[in-house]
Amino acid sequence: MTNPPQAKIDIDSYEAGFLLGLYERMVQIREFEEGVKFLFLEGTMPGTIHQCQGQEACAVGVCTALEPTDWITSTFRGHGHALAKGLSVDEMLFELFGAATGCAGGKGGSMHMVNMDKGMIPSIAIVAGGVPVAAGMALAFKMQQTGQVAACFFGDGAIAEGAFHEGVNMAAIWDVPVVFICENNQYGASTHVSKVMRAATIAERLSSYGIDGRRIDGNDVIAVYEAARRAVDDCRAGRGPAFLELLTYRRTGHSRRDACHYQPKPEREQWLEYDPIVRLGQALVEAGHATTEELDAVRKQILTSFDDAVERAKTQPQPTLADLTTHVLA
Amino acid sequence: MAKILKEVLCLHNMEMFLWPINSQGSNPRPADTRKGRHCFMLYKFKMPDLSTTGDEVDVKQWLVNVGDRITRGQAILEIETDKAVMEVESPVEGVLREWVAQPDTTVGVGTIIAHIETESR
Ligand SMILES: Cc1ncc(C[n+]2csc(CCOP(=O)(O)OP(=O)(O)O)c2C)c(N)n1
Ligand SMILES: [Mg+2]
Repeated sequence: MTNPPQAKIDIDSYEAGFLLGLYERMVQIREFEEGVKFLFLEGTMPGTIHQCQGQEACAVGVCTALEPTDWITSTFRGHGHALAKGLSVDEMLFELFGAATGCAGGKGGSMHMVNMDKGMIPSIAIVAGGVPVAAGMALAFKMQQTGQVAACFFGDGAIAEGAFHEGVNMAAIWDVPVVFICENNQYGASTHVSKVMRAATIAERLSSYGIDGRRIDGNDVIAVYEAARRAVDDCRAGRGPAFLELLTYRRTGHSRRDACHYQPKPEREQWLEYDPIVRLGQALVEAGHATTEELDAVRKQILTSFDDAVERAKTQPQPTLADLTTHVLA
Repeated sequence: MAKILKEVLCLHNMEMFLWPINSQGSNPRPADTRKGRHCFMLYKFKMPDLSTTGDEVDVKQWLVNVGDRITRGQAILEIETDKAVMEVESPVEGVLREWVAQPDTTVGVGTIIAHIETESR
């Protein structure tokens, strides 16, 4: 069992506006996920979902360090990445409702969040599938000298996939501008990471590829942002690739139908206390950047606009028969 | 109480009873309830699709009693799916008015398991 990092969030170097922006984005992700969970429980939204409550700091910290022209690849657990990269609640919710106005025209659903204008290719549900893809994108950026960076999100489960090792090694030998981001939430489905790895951290395994990997407190949005910032700067300066291991915790079941009994209760409770949003909120209040009431108001405002988006989603047009043959290759 | 209830079918899967019926004997549409109208609803909670096969789950035990106030997200029922024993969370806040699902029975996904009285926003 890995204990949560206990350090206080150090926000001293940042302005209130920037910090409140991070806070708002994280709350946006949390309330989106919670709202979607209840839509599923009501039966309003079909299918299953993979959610990222508790991992908001990873998505927000990394995407804040990127330029709008940089690209990300994401996974089946991709709602947070999408919101952090600037996709709208509407286009995502409409997609979850299977509407033609959704970000993938209603054909992708929860596991295929995409917006090519905002730098997000359709998220990839194959574990580690994004790793060689991101390496290839970064190779293109390098060959075309575009100055762009690819950021590739995946979980601890991806480390045991062949595609991960092939993709990372190719990126390393070609020195391409890609930041690999492993959200180590300690579980790949029902398997604890310690059962599939002998090394103490994922980061140290990257040294065999000549990449300087680091383990970061993934529930501290500032620590994530700063590490991502350094990694992105390195990549842009031609010193890529970079690797970040963000230590966090998967507090929901793997998907909606997973009761999560394999997570020991004391471990869960300990990690739930190190909530990334609560931690930043406390730091903001202590520093006098916001009052508890103001932070509550932020949440309420986000909730109200989410509810409005749900109402809009319910009346969006569904794809028609004619849409069946569009966006199809071969 | 149940006698003066009149069933209204909401657009999206969520069935509700609304009361009181107004003097003309008709019901406000659920859509109106969003506009700050003070109104109580009986929310019919259907078994969420928590099994991996999508068909049936076994009801194990009630975790709250009739009359209890429940919060959104509170575990209110223990069930067993084809894969695991799990808890069902309430999607709404309110007061539990009736248990439809009985312990030691099997219910299909989508069947009504409880009536919860909610106050609309
Ligand atoms: C190649 C492949 N194998 C198996 C699966 C089934 N699968 C989906 S998610 C998952 C677990 C992934 O765990 P992790 O990478 O840690 O991501 P997390 O769920 O924790 O976000 C598995 C085994 C898959 N999608 N792709
Ligand atoms: Mg994992």
